[in-house]
Amino acid sequence: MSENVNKPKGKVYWRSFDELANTAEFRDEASREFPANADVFEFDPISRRKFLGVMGASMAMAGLGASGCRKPAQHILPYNRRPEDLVPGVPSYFATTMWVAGSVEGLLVKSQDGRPIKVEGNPSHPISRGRTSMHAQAAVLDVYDNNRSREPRNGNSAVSWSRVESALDELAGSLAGQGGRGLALLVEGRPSPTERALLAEVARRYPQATLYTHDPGQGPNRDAGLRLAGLARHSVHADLGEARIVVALDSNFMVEGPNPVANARQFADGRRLEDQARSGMNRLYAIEPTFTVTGANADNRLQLPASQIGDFVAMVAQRVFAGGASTPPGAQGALSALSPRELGERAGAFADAVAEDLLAHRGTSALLVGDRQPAWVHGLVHLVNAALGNDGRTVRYLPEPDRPESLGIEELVAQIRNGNVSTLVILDANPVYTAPADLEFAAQLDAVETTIHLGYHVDETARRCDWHIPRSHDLECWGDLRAADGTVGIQQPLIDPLFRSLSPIELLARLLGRSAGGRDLVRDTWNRRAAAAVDFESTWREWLHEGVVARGANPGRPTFSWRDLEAAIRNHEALPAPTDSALEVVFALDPSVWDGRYANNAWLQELPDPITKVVWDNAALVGPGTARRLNLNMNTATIRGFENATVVEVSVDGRSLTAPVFVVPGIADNVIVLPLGYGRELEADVAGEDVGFNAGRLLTTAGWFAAGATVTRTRANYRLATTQNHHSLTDDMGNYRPFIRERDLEAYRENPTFVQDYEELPAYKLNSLWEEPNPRDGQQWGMAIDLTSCIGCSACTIACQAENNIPVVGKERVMMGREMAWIRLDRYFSIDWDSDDTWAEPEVVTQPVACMHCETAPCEQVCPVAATVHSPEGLNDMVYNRCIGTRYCANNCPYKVRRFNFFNYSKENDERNPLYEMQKNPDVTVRFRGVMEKCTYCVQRINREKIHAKVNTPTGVVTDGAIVTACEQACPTNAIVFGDINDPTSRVSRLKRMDRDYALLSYLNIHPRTSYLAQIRNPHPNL
Amino acid sequence: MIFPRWTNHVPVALVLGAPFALVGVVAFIWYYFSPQYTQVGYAPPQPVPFSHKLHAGDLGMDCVYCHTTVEDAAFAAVPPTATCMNCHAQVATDSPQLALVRRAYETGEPIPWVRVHMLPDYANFDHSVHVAAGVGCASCHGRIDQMEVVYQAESLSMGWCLDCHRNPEPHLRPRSEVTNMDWDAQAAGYDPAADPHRMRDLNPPQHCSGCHQ
Repeated sequence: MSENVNKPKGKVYWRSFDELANTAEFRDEASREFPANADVFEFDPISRRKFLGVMGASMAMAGLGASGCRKPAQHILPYNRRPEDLVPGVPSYFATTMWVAGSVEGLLVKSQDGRPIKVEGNPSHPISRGRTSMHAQAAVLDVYDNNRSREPRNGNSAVSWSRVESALDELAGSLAGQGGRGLALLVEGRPSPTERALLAEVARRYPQATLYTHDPGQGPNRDAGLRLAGLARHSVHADLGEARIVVALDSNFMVEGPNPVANARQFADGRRLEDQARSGMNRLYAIEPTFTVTGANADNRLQLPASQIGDFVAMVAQRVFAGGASTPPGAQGALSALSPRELGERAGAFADAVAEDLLAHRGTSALLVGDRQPAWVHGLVHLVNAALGNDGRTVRYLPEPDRPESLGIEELVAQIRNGNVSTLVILDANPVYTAPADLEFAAQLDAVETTIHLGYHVDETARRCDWHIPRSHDLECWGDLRAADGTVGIQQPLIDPLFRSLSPIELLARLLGRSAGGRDLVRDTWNRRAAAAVDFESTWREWLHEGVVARGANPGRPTFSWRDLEAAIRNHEALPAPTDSALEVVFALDPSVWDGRYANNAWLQELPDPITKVVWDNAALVGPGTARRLNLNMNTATIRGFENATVVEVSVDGRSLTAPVFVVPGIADNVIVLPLGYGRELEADVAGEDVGFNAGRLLTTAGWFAAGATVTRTRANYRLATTQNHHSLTDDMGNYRPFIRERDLEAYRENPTFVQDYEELPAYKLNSLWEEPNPRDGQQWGMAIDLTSCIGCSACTIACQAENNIPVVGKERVMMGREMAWIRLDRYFSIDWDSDDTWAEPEVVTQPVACMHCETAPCEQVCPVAATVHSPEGLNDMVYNRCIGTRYCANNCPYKVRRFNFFNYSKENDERNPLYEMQKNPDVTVRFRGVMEKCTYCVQRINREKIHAKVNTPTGVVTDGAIVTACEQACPTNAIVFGDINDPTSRVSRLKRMDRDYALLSYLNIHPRTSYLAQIRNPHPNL
Repeated sequence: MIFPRWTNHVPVALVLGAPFALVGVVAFIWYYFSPQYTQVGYAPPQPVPFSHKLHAGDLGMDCVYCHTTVEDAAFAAVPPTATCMNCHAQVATDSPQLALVRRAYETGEPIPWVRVHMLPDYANFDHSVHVAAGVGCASCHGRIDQMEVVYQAESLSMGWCLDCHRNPEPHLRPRSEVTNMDWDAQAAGYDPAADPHRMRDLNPPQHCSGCHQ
């Protein structure tokens, strides 16, 4: 380790093992503007051929240019009858709701001349409150997926819609005759009232039909755990508004689970620290085998193998009940059944601290458990929450009387094997890819006489079914959804389906012999439920406008029954603790592609994983101790295209696969984490078999973790693209500067101005060579980012990409450091050299970095053509037309936020996928080859609001909060605030006046307009 | 002797002629490559021989009767065919010149009007804010009310935009006179600073991102 400039508390921050060891490769990379290969020609020979083609084309164009000097004629095609309220060129916003990555979000979608181009959160929706998850941000790109299914298929060849319709009518007729005997329906189990009403109708019409649900994003353990608490037909979600203590037990509740957007916001609201009293900060414990976004935000984090989380919960439960929590009636047996294994001193101390905090915060604490954990752990967590009085307050149980009875996919396979299924209809699900491998679902499909699949892609399941029917995107079809808190919203289409397709409810209606459209089906449902006295038409319009039919109410405390919990605890099979030779395999949903359903979304593929920063791939994750024992490469510098990852063979229960390994501190010892969702067998431009490996080949019905895995190093290596070393802010010698300023709450209270202690030069030494501009006229834009609130979910990066027409460049170019994202999330690990066990508690801080709009911007000083200049409102403008591509500006940017178009990336993207053009934001220039680009503070939004103020207000002054940048608007935790720093009452000014406020690389005296609020953690004093 | 004797004069002629040639080339490019030469006067034939002179001039129709969005949107949208038919359902109902309009109205196939005033995609122009500031239609579009066929009257180059953005006062008029084609600031003796309806100073952007975003 090199000597760092600042080393408070012996804590060091670093982005990669290369940086920690300060390897020559790392220094080489840090000292360059771009990694070594960035300025050489493309590796790919096809591109070279293409280059010649491009050159030929430009010659031809040059010839044309001489013959005609005038621009080609443009046509204006007006409406013949313009719809009322439609103003050409002015976007409209429509409220809708969508099922996104296992949860329901209320959305407000921007429609530009009839095309959905940007997704925002619906401010009226109590879950979203104007914010979104990153998956919701990326959803709009899926509408324009070039590989989406475009025509129905029968026996793997395209057929006409009339054949599909007649086949469905025939099926409905024959089913009616036999009461639905042999019919099995496999659905994802979305909480859609209309879908459920139709499923209930199916059950009435075809009493012998059976319903199955399968969705890897909401595993069966959650429901099974609720049944152990006596709460069948209930859903559970956290409401952390009042929670002071949150215990995440293998739970990634900030980005997964039933309610992530609201939970992330509530968590951040509970630690806002915006009052000068510096009081009222909640505390998050995370106990997890892998490193999740939630774990990264924990105040105290404990690494435990997934198989030992249950023991930990039992330890906490015993301490809580011993400490005075009253045992709920009927739970005595369950408590006596607890016999946690000894997990070591640290886990014991951790359990003590957790129990102490929980007992001190009865009713204002919450234990949250992840879907990976088996049902008995869920049941036990419900018990502890009930004993603490958290139920009905921080943990809410919503009765779902309309939820149809359904079985799991294992029962479906059993029924198929028994020959009881002759017709299988699969809505949305892709079980051939996602079902546990030991079910061999693909082979089961052959045993079913008729299989019908409704899906967005011709995917693994579609190709093995007799019939495949294209599914409409959720932005193209009608529906309705009940969010976690019970809020119901109408899913309103933004556009007619680009290609003829059916929605799930339309297909269900077809099975019932009705050819009703989605709108009528949804209206029917709500017309029946609406009070007879009201005027339905106007109510319906109001619902559509607001996007909310009925707000959820607190369902209150449920009536538990702990009868079955004892047996479940006693009978659970404890997996042996992992050892050097028998590792534990933990399966995880991938943060970006989820269970694989978003695999063909290029934005998500190129989005760096929040923890590993790997793009376009998944990798097996192990901790540094495990890696050292297996002799794996821990360094990841991708310069010169090294094969930087060791490939290992993972075998468990007779199944095996090979996977490249990425080493992450903070992964429990002897645990190997396999993210799902990659290695798709999809004929697609973006996702394919060569993109990642399919971890699902090892997943069995035994659950999402398995013991006894052998991991052996192979001789093979693999090139893994990770951006963790890219755009490093260290100096040329690889030395860390105090980019992250962090304290524990206690230390912060003692020394509220601690951020000043990090300053490398005292203020009086910060003198400029020239007269410093002091623009304080009019409105001056600036931004504050609160690192304590930022959870690192990456919604901002995707929002920026959607808003600003940012192209993707692909894996090879990312390895060269050519990724184009304007806002990146710098993820720093930290370890404490002074601590006894250095690797026991690595921490993560995430820092969003985009152009800082420095007042004395270094980029502006070196541009030979004045292509980057300052605006009077403090923006660092980028003038694409002037830019000649010297890249001096990027070289001189200390924050490394400038991105260069080495090739015509946007045009390449559009040529590869002609539909992609439809998503483009017309207010933002599409950049071409040879120009520099970077964050503009969403200048198009600033200009729009300024024009709005000039036209509509007498002062012409933009009010605070009117301009919302794309990143700010997406951020679920309100970590990013933009506004006028010249107005002392603006939100951003208030934040910048706080004592936690600091500027990145302030010793350069360049006055960045974006500043950061230091990271504060609130750990338990004993840990 | 390889070169004939007259070649001795070539260097002198070059030295004497080069400045003239250089000035000539600069002048040629200055004038003939400028938008003033290449753009002004562009008058493409339109699919329907719509006469602004007749409608806006002789009949005195206000610009906003058809270009309804000009006051609150970036685009002063070309009116939908239905606007034409408001009158032409009764007036000149069988004129052969209006055949395309009637057909469009019946079939829904839009009329392919040809754009006259073309700004590049990287320039962001908003009509509403200019109208709100009191810039007359005629300032940029010329005397539309006298044009049988609409042509581009001004260069619409960046320098031309900036001329006004740097010194907007001479081009301003009361809000009520924006669409008045033959309004004359001097004749009216208009002083923007003294206009009670103007509540704030104009501050037209002169920086890059004001228009390029």
